[in-house]
Amino acid sequence: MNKATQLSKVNETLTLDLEGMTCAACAARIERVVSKDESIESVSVNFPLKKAVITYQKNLNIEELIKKINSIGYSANISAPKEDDKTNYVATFFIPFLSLVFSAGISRGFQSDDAFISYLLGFTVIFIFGKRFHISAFKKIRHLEFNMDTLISLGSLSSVAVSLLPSSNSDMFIDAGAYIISFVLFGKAVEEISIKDSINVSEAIKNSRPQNAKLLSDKNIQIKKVSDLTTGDLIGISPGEIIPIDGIVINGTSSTNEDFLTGESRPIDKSPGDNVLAGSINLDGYLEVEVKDGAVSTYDLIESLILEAQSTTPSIQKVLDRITQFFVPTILALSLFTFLYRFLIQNTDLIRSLEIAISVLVIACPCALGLATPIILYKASSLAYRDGFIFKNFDKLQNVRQLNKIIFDKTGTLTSGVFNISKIDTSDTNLSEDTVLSYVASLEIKSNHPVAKSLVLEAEKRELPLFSSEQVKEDIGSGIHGIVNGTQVLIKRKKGIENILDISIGDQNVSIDLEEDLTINDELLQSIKHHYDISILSGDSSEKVDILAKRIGISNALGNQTPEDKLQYVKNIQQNEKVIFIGDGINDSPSLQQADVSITTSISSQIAQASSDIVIQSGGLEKILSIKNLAAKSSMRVNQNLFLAFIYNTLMIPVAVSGNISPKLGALAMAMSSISVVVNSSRKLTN
Amino acid sequence: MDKKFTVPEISCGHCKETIEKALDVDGVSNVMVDIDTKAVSLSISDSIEMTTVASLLDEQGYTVVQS
Repeated sequence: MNKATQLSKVNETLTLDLEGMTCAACAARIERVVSKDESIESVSVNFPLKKAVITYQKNLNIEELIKKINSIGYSANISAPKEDDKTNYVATFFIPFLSLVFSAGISRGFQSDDAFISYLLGFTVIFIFGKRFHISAFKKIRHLEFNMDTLISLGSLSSVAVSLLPSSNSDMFIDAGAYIISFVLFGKAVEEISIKDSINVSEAIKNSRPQNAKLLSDKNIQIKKVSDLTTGDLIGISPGEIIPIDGIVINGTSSTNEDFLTGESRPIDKSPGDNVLAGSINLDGYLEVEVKDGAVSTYDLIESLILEAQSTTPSIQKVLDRITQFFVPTILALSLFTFLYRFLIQNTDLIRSLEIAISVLVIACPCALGLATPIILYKASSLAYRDGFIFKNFDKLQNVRQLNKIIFDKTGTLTSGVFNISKIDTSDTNLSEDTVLSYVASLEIKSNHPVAKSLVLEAEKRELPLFSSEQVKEDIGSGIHGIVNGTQVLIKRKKGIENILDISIGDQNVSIDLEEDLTINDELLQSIKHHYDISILSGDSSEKVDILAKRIGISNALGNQTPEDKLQYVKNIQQNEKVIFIGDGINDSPSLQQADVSITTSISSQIAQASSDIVIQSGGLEKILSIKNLAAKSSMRVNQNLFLAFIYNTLMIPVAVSGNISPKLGALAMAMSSISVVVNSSRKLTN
Repeated sequence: MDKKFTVPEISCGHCKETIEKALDVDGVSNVMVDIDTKAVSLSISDSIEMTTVASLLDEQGYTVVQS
């Protein structure tokens, strides 16, 4: 082997960002096309992450490869390494600040008869700093669409136009235009900071999520960070857990839900030899998975999901766009009408008519508009985080305020979800209580069910040893079985009696009596009932649900509900009204996704968290009221801000139409609206 | 000549569009893509070989399976 071939055997990895994929088949297509290149060792395209990870030999022509991907209808770019996401306030606010200083300088320039300086400052602000608004407005206007940018662009450009007219006192108008741009830039900067901050918040969410994997080595389980896993590592995945990293099943059978990734909601059976995908959910069996080469982890996936949620435009923005869609043409028409009326009917001279008409355009642009929503969004998300919950987007938060129907999944949401062991019956055997619990917990540690968690907790309390187990399979809603320490163990709910577990260890039969901790804060429940119509849907027996429902005075309570029943119930209600669903289990995820707003807690299964709109990080039921409160307050504040942003300018429109507007009056309106918006936003949001 | 074959990778409207575009060449007409059955039917003239059609699709990352 000569040196050249040796060199070319050295593999490198390349990550590409892909745009334009619409389904998992697109990912497969890209893989096929890319892998045709002989220099490519392996390629893995991840659809939800919109990324391709490519291992290649040194002689690969990357540009050619990108061209090839582009030629089949996608666009590929080399992923930039993650930049330092430390929020840089100084850099973000530098341009807006400069812009504001320049704008303030304009009137100075005119006062000291240095018109050239004023124009220079004004042009810099409007044409250079404000470039993006004009570009965006131009793109929209070609399709006869109008948005906020249209208004900003129109207002500021008109101010330049009117200031250039050979007339006495209208040159001052240019500073109004400059102020419009400056204020909007400030609003954008606040928005940017708030997005960056909420990304930091989502970093915190990620850190609080179980981002660890159970690394298996010879009969020993070790908790390791997903990011530290390497090719060939063997990890254990319990039912209900999100598969943390791409891999191949080595041991165990189960089915997984890849809905997240492929849109296929049917469970897919997995047995040794099958591939499992990061981000899919392990449904009913315990799996041992070997980490694949070039694997993608859920760590990245969850990040991308959160980013996606944050990048959705809140509907307030959509409302605003609708307003401007109507507002802009109206103002344009009004301006044109003013001009025609002046020029043709009143015989005002051309320049003066133009001046008045354009001044209408300038004055109508509410420069505080850009500030109205971002500040409130920012405050709301940071307040929520401090208060112990996270909302994935602002609209969902708003829905909590508007809806008045809540469905609870009782176990673990209304109650604490903890089961206490009241009796371990070993009378028919020669086993000790502790031995039984040891075997039971060794099996249950692989399940996420509240009962399982409670049993493991008890074993931990008693400091009992846990054994290795294999061939573990969970029968959702009824039990779990597997081989512990070489002995077949079967745990099953006793038929008809909810709180007794029938257990067989080898050929010995024991039973464990459980008692659910049913403590509910009644006072709290009453205040929630005051705001919401509560229903309970539970997988527990009807009898048990009835007892609880009676005790807390709720009439709509159903037991024996399967996940399908719950989903159907939610759908039925949705025919008439919108509904909030609060749940925590694997069983609840379809309903959580179906509901208009879904709330879960941070101790819930990962799938429940991923399917929910709001995740309560710390605390319990009382947070529902905090959420509602924050929703109401923030919504009201946004509306107030919008009103304040529009009102002064709108009031000035008739003055402008009548030809009596002066640059000073215009500046006053701008200043008043901006100051009121800022002051109103900085008031404390919650009490 | 009418031809019908299966393309297992077809999964959504995006695929349909891509295939229709890729086969928008002289000698191929009446391209019909059925997403549900993953079937493609088309008419080809004597000037074009079925292997050409297959290679056109192959460039786009699709395989032709004769049915």
